[in-house]
Amino acid sequence: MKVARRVSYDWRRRLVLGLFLLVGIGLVGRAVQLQYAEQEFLTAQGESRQLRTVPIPASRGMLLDRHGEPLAISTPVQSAWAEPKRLLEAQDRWPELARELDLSRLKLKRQVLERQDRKFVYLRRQITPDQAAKVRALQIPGVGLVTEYRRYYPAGAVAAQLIGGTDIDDNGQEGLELAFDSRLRAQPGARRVRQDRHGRIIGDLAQVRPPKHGENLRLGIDLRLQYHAYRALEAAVLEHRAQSGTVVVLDVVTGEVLAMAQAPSFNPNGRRTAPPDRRRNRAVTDPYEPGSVMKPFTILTALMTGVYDENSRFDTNQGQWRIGGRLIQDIRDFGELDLGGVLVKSSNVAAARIALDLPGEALWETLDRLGFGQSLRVGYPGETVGVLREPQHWVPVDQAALGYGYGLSATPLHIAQAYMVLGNRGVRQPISFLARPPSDGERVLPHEFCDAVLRMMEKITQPTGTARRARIPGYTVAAKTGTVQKIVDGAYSKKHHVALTAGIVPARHPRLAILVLVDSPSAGRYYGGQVAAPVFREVAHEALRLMNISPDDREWMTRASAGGAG
Amino acid sequence: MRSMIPWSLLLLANLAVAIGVVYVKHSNQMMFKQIQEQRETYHRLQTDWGRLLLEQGTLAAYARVEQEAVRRLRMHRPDPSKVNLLSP
Repeated sequence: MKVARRVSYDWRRRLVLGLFLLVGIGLVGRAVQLQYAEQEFLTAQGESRQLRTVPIPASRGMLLDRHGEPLAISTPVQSAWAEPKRLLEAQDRWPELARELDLSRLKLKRQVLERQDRKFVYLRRQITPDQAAKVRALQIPGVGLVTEYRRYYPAGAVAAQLIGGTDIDDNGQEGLELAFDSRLRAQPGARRVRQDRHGRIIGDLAQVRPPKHGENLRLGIDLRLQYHAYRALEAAVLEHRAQSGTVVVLDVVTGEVLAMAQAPSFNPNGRRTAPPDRRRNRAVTDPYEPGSVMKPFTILTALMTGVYDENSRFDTNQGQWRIGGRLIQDIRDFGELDLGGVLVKSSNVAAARIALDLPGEALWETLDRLGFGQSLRVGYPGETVGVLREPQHWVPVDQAALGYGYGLSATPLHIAQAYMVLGNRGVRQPISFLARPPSDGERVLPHEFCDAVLRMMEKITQPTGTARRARIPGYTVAAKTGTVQKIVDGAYSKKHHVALTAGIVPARHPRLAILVLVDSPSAGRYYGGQVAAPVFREVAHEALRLMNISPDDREWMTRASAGGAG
Repeated sequence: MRSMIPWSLLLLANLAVAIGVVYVKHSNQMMFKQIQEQRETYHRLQTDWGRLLLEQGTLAAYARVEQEAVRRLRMHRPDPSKVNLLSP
């Protein structure tokens, strides 16, 4: 009986063992399935929940003035963003969020709903550090903050057009910001991180791409000089109710742009956008007929060709001369003038006669060598080349008009460049917005004739000359004024003028070429000598002081040392 | 008995490596925490720096310096007639 009973229970044991075995096989099988067959799918699923590639912010390079003062800085700011899917689960907290971000609830809702299927939506960009702290404190699931950079311009309106600006993503849009964008631009890096289910980063896996910060660029601009130029110009534009004004200061020896100011200006840090005619940098983008400030180059060509010398005399024909249906006039009858006198009195008649006596190619060649009608090759956005027609296309009246600066067009920077070459006694340095040491310039005009013209131009700032208001005590100043009739509706206007003064200081040891242009002064006075020359004097005086250039007017120095007994 | 020796050695080594792995994991976590803190400090300092630059820009703007010099310190540019030049 006992034996039979034992045998009868044996199958139970086997059954249980068999079941265990089956379960075991099942488990191993499942493990194999998970580990091998579905591994790829599962790993991908896990990683998509845990792994994120986050950007490493990189900042755009700074623009500095020649002394290292910042002109454009990128400062880190926070932008609020959200993962719409997760934010949708926390709708009850939207009112708080909207309040801290200063958004209407409707706008917030629309922003999130419109981009539901994305993983990243900006809620509000570039918020204040205070706002950012409050948003962080709310701890709403799906809402995060990223570091971005906002461009700030410490110089404000003083250099607004020259520096230009960037868009919200820190890409150069205008001015020098665009011209040097490829060097200033930053490339954000990326790193791969592991995060937990609350979105906190719990581990660094790898740096996918290192961040590349933008290059800092040192400009030739002297911010103090720029400020003074802007202030003097702004005052003049207001006083004479002018449409606009431009000042360009170039270093004669190095070709650097030391200042480039424009009024009226705008605040580049403001949110509101300024009208385009205030934004564009007229010194580089707007062509003008230069007028009388071109006469020194007519005289220079006359000397170079040997057609006239310093003792030649000219009859100004009682201040009127008709050629090719065009009446050339002086403001009054200057009688007989020598070459220097043509400049001092700024006689249009004499300048036109000289120009007509010169071989056309010679006059064209001088202007061509000074860079008129050519690109300045500075890569400035919106640069205008201006017009200088070739002598084959000239008729006599064109050639005569060119003698006193009509019939060609040039930007203020072109005119300043021509004076810079004259000041450097015929050696042309390439214009540079970046600070740089003097390079080997190219000799384009003979040394001795440039000197001769500079000496004549010194007389223009003497008490009887048209540029007497450009005189600076203690310094020799070579300057030429100009008053140009603007073309309105296809004809020269008697009401709209451009007042200019261009010059070189100190005349005996040239260091700076300065151009002042005031467009459409409408408060009565409009002559270059009345409107632009005082600005020229202010800017030049300040520049000489700031650059530690010692007085060179011998006469003044002897008078000063005799008078000042101290 | 002799054949047990390599086995126990392997076991010991295994144990040591296991403890090593735990230790490295832990120190990795500590270091990660540190680097996160450093990153936050860096970020805070950068924000501060930006703010200070802006502050400096406002306070040291030439317009303000000039105003302070003229109004508060009563400075002015000397009249050219009062300038004496000393030749070296």
